[in-house]
Amino acid sequence: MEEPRKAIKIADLDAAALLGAEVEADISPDLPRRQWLYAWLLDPNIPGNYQKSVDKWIAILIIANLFSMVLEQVPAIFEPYQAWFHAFDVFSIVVFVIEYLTRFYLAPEDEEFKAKGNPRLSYMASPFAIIDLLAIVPFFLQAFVPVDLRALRFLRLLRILKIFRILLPAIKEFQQLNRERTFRQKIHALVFNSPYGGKLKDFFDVFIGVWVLISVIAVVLESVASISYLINIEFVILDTIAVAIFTIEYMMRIYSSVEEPGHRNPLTGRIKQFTNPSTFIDFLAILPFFLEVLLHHVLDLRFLRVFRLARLLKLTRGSDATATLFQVIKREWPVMSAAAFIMILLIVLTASLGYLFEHAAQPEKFENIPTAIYWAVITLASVGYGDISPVTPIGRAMTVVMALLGIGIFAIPAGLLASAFSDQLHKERDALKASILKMLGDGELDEDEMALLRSEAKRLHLTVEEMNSILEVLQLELESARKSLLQLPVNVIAQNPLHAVEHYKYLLNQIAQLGIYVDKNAFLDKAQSDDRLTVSEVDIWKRILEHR
Amino acid sequence: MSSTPAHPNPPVSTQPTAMDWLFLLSCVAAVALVAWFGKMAYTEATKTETAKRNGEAVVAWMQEATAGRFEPGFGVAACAGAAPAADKAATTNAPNTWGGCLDAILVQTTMKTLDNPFREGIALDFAPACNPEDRSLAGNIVMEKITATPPGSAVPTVTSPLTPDVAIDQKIQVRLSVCDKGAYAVKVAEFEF
Repeated sequence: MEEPRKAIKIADLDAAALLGAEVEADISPDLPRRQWLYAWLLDPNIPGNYQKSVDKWIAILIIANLFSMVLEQVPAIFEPYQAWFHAFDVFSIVVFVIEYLTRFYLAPEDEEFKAKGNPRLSYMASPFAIIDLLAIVPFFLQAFVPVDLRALRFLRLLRILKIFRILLPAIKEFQQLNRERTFRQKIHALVFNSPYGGKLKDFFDVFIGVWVLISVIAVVLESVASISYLINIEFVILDTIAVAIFTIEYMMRIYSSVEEPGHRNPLTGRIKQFTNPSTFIDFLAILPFFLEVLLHHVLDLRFLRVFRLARLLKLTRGSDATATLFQVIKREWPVMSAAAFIMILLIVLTASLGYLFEHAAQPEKFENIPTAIYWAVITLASVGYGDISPVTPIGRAMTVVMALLGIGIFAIPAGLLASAFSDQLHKERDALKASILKMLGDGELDEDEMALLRSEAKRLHLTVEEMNSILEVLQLELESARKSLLQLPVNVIAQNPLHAVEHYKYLLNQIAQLGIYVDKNAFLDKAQSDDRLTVSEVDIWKRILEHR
Repeated sequence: MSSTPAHPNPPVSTQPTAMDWLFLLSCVAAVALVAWFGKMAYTEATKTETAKRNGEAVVAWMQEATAGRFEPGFGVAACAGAAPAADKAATTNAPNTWGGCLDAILVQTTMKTLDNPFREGIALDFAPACNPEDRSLAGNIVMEKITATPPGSAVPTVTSPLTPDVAIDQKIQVRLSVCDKGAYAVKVAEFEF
């Protein structure tokens, strides 16, 4: 049997809790030491404790270990920094040992093990604890037993298994969310935003994001001759792995795009997805690799490598701010294009005049109108490199005018964008208020509505104070709506059950107030003497007064 | 709204369909293709690495020779420097040039065994400069002479190709580069010869 869904009234809504702002953990200092420690460090059910932070930092350390192990394979990096690698290894082991011992000590407090005969033994026999142990044992093994270096490196790889402590629950949640769904829908849930992605989708996004950053850093470092000289082969391997990952992601996106609204047709839906700007960026991110390898005998396509930096744009997919910016540009396009037109007109005009007045005096600098256009843009944009400057009096006078004009003309698009961006944010916040009002149609917010509200508040980067002020305004608006409701005809009120209930409550209150102010006996005498009220009507009167 | 829900239609079957299998197969094929292309890129990159190793071998020989080439009886006579000042008057021979030294190096030293990795079976060669428009230069070694500029100049040194007629009787500062597969120069080292 399903649990009843929790609903919350607007007056009870806590903005801080809604936005996931840090709340102070409610843990009594009088708890027994072990219980207290468990509550602070490992209990996943206490909001505001350090459990999430512990998990996060352990995950970061595991990933850092993975990178360290990969970098150790590159002699050019490993040899000069061997001591640092060793120090990091020791640090990691110390942290992992502390983690293992803490979990071992606190096992009797863990829901999973406390019911068993020997909680600590049960913990040691659990799969995650075995993985944790495997992660630290090889380090101690080498101190006591002569182990082959290659075998040791292989054993150290086991440390990566610790990542399953985070991954497995996410996979379980994903399976749960997608129990009755097709394979394609599952793929869709993994690569597109949907209510079925869960934590695994977040991990997938982080994984892609990390690879985007790695590959972009690699492209940047490749341009440093001294680094590229040492690890050129490693850059090639890294790029191949990155392209393999991005290719699979791209294929997943195209294949499952049919599940997106408006993409139902298997062919046209996928073509539509292919031509979508963000998917096209994905395509551009992998294209240089294939072209360079395919055509390297014919052409030198290394200039295409710089397009690998387009991978950075993949990160904008998860950013709502970018979407807002595009929306703003789209909305303001007519005005911006008009400003751009005036700008181009001004540039061409001033460049032509500059050529006219300065060519005779400086033929090598104002050689032709295209050269003068360069000068005009640099001057109008207030950059002023000074490599080309007018020398004739009329040329200088014109430069003064155009420099002043440039301040205004070039500032227009920037000002437009800034005000439109702020306007868009206001609109979106108003839309959020409207959607909360709509959600409050039944007077309450259920869990789904709360989740939607949370994601919208996050998208609009609302602070707790801002959310509180929105909620206050909403409360006032609801109150005022309730008051104005009474002025409506009863048949209009009856159209909305919530309004009808509110109206009924109002009427009951009115009767109760009447009961307070009126002389009750005189009222009953009058009502019964002339048969003004029936017996049942008098009975209802009495009941209302009794209950209020 | 940031989330875009999928179609609400209930699925017919949760088992992978033929299309799903085809998709999985194409994913495997794509990974195989990327791996194959990666292998090709790796092979090309190793050729550049070999060219760099060749350059390093030349640098090693020349640095080793620098110490001895001003001593009497240096093995590769064509690369020998000028005799010490005391013996100068007795010497009437013209100074050795880089052209003669290079010919001798490629015949008499271990460098004769080095091959151009980009052109199978072709021995290592020296070029005046790398030029991306002439990709046949890939794998060649380029030597440049570094000359210090007078104090107060905008740049401290200028480089010029080490042409065959450049005299090497005195110590010179050189830069050795190799041409990569696109015939772009990859600097290996700067040293005194």
